Amino acid sequence: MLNGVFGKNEGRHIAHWRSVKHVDVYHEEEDGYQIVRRRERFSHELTLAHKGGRVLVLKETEEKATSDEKCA
Amino acid sequence: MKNAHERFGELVYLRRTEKTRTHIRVHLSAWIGEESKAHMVSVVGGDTEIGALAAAFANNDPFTAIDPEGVERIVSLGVTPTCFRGPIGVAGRRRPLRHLIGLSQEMIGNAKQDRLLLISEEPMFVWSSLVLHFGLPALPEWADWFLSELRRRKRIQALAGFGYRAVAVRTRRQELLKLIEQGLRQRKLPFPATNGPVHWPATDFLARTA
Repeated sequence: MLNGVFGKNEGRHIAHWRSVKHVDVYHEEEDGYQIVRRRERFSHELTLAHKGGRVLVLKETEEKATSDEKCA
Repeated sequence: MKNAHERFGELVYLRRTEKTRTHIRVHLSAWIGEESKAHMVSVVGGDTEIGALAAAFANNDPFTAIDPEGVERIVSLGVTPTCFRGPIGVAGRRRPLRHLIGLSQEMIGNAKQDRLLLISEEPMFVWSSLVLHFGLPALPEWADWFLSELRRRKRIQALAGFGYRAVAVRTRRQELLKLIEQGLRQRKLPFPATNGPVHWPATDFLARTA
């Protein structure tokens, strides 16, 4: 992970990485009881501020998580 | 700097039950708060007093904070405050004094609120704290513009207390990212001429306390 100023010409940007905590909640039913399981994990988030003013936040999305699970 | 007896306030804790009455009065070196809520208290006292106060803070019991000018306020630290304790050796005393710092959940940064409590109003300290807390792609040179924008939007509010010039900054990450976008588009925020890491200077406030 690198924070700082990168790129050239119009693509020049300031990058900032950070860790974001996620809590996945699973609901299971067993013998008539509802079991709620919570799994805590961290993922990375990258925020870019381009010279021209465009700000981008690149992070894990719901769709990405589902496809990861499918791959696994 | 004033002498200690002029610089310190007092913290008074009074608790009555059916059988017992507890009355503790200790020196208060600093406190930060608002209305009926304390966010930070720093007290000095004996072993027993500090032990009892730590228990009172954990119990969310109210206490009276009296500043050096004599202004009283009944406050509490809220649920599950964090306390730090340490000894202070004093020449001529057989036992060290005990120092206790109690911090509210909001001051620690655990409470999920759209504001950040800071113990100094120094621009570089406020800006670097916002950048660190919200994870922003930003430069130290942007401090003045950002703080003037936040002040114009009435997002920075001074907190009560003494010992520190504390402020509460009421903002969200989304708002700050929007401001970065706006500042860069309007060319109010300078962009570095060369690539490389962003160096954050040590603030005067941190240098003083180190």
